[in-house]
Amino acid sequence: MTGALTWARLSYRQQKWELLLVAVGALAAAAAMVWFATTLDAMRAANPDCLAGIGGGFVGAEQEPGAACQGVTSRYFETESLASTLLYLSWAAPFGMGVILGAPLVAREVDGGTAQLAWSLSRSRIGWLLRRIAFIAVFGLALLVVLAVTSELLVAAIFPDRPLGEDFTWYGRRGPLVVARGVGAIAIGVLVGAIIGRVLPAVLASIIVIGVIFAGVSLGLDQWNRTEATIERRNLEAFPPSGDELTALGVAYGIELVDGEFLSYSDAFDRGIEPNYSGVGGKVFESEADIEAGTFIGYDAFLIIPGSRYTQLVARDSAVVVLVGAVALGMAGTVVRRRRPG
Amino acid sequence: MTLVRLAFRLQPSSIGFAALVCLVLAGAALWLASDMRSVLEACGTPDEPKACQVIYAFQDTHMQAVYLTQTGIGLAMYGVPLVLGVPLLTREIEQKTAMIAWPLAGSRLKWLLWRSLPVLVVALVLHGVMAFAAAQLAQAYFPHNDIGFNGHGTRDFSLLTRSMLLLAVAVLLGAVIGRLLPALMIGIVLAVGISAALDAALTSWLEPRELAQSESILTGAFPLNTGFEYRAPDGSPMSDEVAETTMQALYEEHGESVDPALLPQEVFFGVAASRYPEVLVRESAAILGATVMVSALAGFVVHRRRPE
Amino acid sequence: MTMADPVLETRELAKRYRRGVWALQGIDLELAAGGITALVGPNAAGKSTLIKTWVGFEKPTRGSVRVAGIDPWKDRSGALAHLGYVPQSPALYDGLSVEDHLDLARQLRPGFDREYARARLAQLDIPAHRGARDLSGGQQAQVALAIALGTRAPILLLDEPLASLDPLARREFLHVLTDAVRGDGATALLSSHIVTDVEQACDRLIVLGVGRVLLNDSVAAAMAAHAISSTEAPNAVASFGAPDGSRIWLVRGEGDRQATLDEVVLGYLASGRSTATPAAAA
Repeated sequence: MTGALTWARLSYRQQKWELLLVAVGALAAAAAMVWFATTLDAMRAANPDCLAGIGGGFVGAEQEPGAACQGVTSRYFETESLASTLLYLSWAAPFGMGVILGAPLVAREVDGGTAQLAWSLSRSRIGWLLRRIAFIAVFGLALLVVLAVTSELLVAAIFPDRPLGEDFTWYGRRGPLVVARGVGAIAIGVLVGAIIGRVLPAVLASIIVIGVIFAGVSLGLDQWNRTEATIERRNLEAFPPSGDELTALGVAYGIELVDGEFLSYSDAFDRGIEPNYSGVGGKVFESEADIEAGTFIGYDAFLIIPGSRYTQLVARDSAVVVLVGAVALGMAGTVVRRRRPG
Repeated sequence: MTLVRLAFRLQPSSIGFAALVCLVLAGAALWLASDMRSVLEACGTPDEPKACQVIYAFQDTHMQAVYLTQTGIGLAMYGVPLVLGVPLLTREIEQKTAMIAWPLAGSRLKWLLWRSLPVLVVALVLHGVMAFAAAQLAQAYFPHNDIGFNGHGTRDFSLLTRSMLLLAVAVLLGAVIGRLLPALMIGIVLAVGISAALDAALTSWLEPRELAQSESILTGAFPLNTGFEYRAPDGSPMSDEVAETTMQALYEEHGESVDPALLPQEVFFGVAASRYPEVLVRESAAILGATVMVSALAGFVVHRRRPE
Repeated sequence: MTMADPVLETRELAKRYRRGVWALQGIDLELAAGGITALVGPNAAGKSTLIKTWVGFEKPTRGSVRVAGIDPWKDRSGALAHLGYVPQSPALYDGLSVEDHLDLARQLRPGFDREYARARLAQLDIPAHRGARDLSGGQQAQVALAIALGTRAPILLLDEPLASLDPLARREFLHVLTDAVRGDGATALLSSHIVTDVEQACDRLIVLGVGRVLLNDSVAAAMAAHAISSTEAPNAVASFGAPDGSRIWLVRGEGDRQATLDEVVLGYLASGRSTATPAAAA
């Protein structure tokens, strides 16, 4: 235990500025989320008639607020809109951890020449790397846990009547995925830093590499979601939306043809089908004449994954990102083991 | 050419990264603008093609790509100056090369000018290209309109002046802090603050007035909206609370069939789009003045600080 | 001559860098345990490269190296357990104090003797709580040496530790090193391009030039076996310029006068630049 504390103290001293600034930023964002969550709750409690059932715009409201409530709802939605921007921070935070904490970890040792001292003292470079990463990972992930929790609180305040464990709203910007993405980003950052061995190029390169890898993972998961999604017809004119429309993960929007096949709009045009008039009683038509004749191509439809599968998808996507991180970490170990110290 | 070559050799990763980001974003913006313009210019005319129906159905075209590109430009215009400016001094101080360079140069200010000039030129070129492309993209969305204040601050000259201010701030930060990562991180926070401050300053020193109907966005113009107020039917101003109470009382008495002439009216204040060139010139002058002051401060810090 | 098991070995060691530069060529060396060996040569002779191959920082292009019989590329951990290393221009952690560096060493190296290292630094009046960035060059070198000594490793490799030190600091450094090596019975290999510094402290001498071993002998034997002649002789090693501008020859055996260690080294370096055959190891 003493050794772990000593190591933590030494690691902190080596990266003091970055750790402090990251901590201040993350905790300020978390505090802002909590403040907005309590403010939204307080506004709702003070105006139960006007704000009952409201959240995320009019979506979910039992009825449109009357004119008398316009001022109250306007102020509520302004506050909610500001609050929602904080959720972009919880999306960006793991990325930032990877760039600021991960990339300089090995790069600074090589760039500054201290790797010669450390790697000659430590009999195992892998052991050294794991110990260096451990403190940063614990520190960074602890902050991400705080952000993950406060972002859940904030989303719960925006959508008070919805069980968020079965709801894909703000998917990826709250809860365990924030932490999982942090694991991946930090590991990728460490790998980039180990390869490049200079701080500024490593930081810049990790911005691009982490971005590209995460975008690739996201595309891959989107494709995976397509294979697991179900077709759900929607009547776009119906208001308010309800049920799965609120909580599902929308994978694609398009047309369910009369034979049951789902096509996106661009695929439809490629096939020579012209879905020029959609949202007409839930159906899609090619022309006004077809509307009058009642001849429709298909139904407005979405490919969705229902909210009931939220926990499953969070677990799946978290596992994928953590696996990517584990691979990156393994590669980083190989690089550290083989590279020159400067 | 020696100066340029040396500047690149001293900061290859920063300049390479800046060039990659700015040119990719500018390229994307120009491509999208060109593609959108050709589509949108064909719509809204009596002989518009059938494809325009799809555009009307989706309200937009290339929506996500445009959003991503414009967001990228908005981030890059502040991020790239940080990447170019902060390492200028932090690397010299951290790697102790300032101890060689400053005595050699004799005058530290001359040295600072020598180091910053190529970086400034690179920044001007890259941001200039990005600013032009952003302006093309903003106009492409509304090919038949005067875009006025739409996207102000993230296109054309307004983007360029803000970026140069950030570059000066980045150099100053690097000189004061002397360490790369902390200076970068503080720079990010300052960039957010400066962006917000510039937007707030704009709305506070301009002389907004009540906008006529023809100057509102409903007629296709893009004013700078600074606020609104309620007016009673007789034209006198009303507070929000009185207006809401009045509306509530009217709706309770008459229901949804209340006479609109009895309701409080919303009146918008702002700056008309026709004033955009004047505002741009005034704002640019102020930002350039601030840039010069920050640069002078950076010179003062370099002149006085220890080289390590 | 029978040697005890060598603590440091190379067999046909060659190292080539990416731009085709051969830093080392065909190095065969065996260092016996005990004493301090000087590794001398001009800049770019390959001294650092040779030391780094033992530490596992450079991989041999050809041939092999051994530390206490262990190949550091096959068992780095095992090799490093026998080594204490002082790098060239030691880079300490800016954000850490001297005491922190000892803590770090203790965390990284099982069995690190922090009290021993601390005592060495206290003898030199180096404050434990001073930040590394506030130490002079000489003090930083002493901290790096103290860390290497604190490992209590039987083999110490010191890569040009004297290069940036003033004469007093160099003397102090060598004094500490000699004390520790003699006291602990360790083996030290100290590289330098300043011959006069190592003459007093070292028992053996290896001269490295153009990537090859030019001389490998005890200091006493090397000096006893060589002389200076003002004229060319059949037993000449090589000629070089004297401080007064005249040309002198390093010869094996008898000559006009006994050669100084500096002159022995200069002679073999000159021979390395020509096509003269390098001397065999004693």
